[in-house]
Amino acid sequence: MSRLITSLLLVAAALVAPAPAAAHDAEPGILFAYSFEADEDLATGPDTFAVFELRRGEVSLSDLFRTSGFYSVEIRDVADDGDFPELQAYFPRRETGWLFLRFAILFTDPAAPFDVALAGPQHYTLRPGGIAFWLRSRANGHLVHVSDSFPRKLFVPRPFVWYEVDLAYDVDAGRYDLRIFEEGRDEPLVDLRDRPNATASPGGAVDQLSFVGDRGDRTSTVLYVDDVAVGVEEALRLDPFVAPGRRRLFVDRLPTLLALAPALAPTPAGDDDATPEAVAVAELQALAAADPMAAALAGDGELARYAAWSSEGRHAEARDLARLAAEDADVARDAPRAAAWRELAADAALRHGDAAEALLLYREILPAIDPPARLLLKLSDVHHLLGDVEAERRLRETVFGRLD
Amino acid sequence: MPSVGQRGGGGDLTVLAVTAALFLGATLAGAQPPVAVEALPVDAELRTLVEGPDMAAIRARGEGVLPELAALYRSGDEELRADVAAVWYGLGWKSEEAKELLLADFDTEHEQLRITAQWAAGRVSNDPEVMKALVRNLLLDPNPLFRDKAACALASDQIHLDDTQRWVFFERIIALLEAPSLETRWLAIRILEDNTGQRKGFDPGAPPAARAEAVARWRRWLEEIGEEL
Repeated sequence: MSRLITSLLLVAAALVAPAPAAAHDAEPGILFAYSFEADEDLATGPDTFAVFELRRGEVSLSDLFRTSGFYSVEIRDVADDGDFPELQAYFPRRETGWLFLRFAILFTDPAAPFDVALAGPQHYTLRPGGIAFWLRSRANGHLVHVSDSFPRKLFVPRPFVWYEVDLAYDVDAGRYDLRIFEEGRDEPLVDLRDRPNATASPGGAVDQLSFVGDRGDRTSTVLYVDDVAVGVEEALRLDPFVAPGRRRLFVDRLPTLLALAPALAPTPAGDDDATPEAVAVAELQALAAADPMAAALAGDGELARYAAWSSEGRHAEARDLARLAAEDADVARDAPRAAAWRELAADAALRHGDAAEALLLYREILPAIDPPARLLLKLSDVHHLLGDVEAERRLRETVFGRLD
Repeated sequence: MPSVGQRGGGGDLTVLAVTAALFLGATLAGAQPPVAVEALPVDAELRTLVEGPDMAAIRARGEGVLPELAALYRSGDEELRADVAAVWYGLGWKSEEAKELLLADFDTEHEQLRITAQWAAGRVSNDPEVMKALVRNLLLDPNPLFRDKAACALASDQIHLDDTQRWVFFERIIALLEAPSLETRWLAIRILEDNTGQRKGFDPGAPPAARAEAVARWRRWLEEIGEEL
């Protein structure tokens, strides 16, 4: 599953489902923390991390080099394979305050291209809300950080030596302090204060972190990452995991067809086209426009009743309405609309607490269409609720990958 | 990059020519003729892959495919040349031969070929001649679509520039912020924003004094990053 699809799904989820209220469990102040040990819960998902191995590049656990425990993550790229491997980490969006990032990194060839970027809802772009902190290599072997839109030299790393990166990021000001320590040395090699972020723009939110190989696809970059942690000042607690890799079920966070169908309605162009919200809505519309099932529902008169019953918690009635609408579509030989209504029926069944019925309904759709990622992830929810660990994992990993 | 096809502001050709000379710092001579190379036979299978296009299969041939693509380009009509240019764009591999051939089509009136050649040139080369030719087209081409697409190429497709070349690139584009043409100023700030994520407060339609202050901010930034080099 492409990184674009995963990103679009995450954006859409943020749009259609509110962020979870702080509650319960987890260590105060820690948003994300992994040492990548075999006995850790390394389930990929929207609240943990994703692994992209779309061609021959790999992201895997390695015992060759590590800063703690027995393993680190090896990111191994293959030149000219048409893509690059990536470890992409997710944490609750921060729109204000300070955020602290720490990770260790080891280069086998400091001149080999790589990128590490802390970014927000505009993803890995040079725009406000996009890349906040960007660390990368240069062909001459220099490690650089991109600050105020230009790469700034740091130092030439030594191969096969661990470097610990310690970042304190002021989200409101869009500025950071950066320290980098070399293995075996107490004094930092780099100690920078109050530097502008990648685009010198204050106030952009951050919610993801990425480690990639050679985006230019010309080099077989190999690097190692370990002990990644993201934290905040206040004693924030997070919702517990309700299923592997996620603190909310996919069915509660992904855009339902109900959300996508209205997204197909044209919105008037205006001066706000470039705001983060407008861009996110545009991405939702792109997701909807690419989905024939969502398109099939546009203008369907029964949607309003289904939506009303769903919001009132009348899930059994919503399910029955959707099943009848699907049968009507079958008679009319409108396969996309029938599939769309079956998905809505399955969603309602799941919310009604009947995972077994939801499974049957989702499965009815599968042979007829090229299943969108949304459907595979909801099936992952169903299998989790039915206790099928293997099926849950397999479906989730079609989108979020797997760290072997 | 949105089209500026509906915008006016192309201006008097004489003014544009003088502006171009100032900004380019060069004569307005056209692109040099292609470098003479030994002609390779045209690969019929490769043609099929190019027309697909089947980028995975082309990429799998490795850099040895570059002179074969050049042979195909030389032998082809405008549509085939546009297809080859699109493949060069997709590969993003440096090729002196490709650069020469693409520059030779920077004056064609064939829309698809012109646009693709402009986009692809910076993806096969970091030769300063590419940037000069794109800036020339941005300033002087009588077709607003071609001016806009030259700007798009400058914004998005100069992928092989090293840091020093990128500094020169920014210097040239920042100079365009002072162009008499509103269209040129608008295109220039879009190029800068695409490359930096910033405008530094530059509004191409603002009064001259406000524009000058923003240009000064850009120049201070340029000076600061020059010290990094």
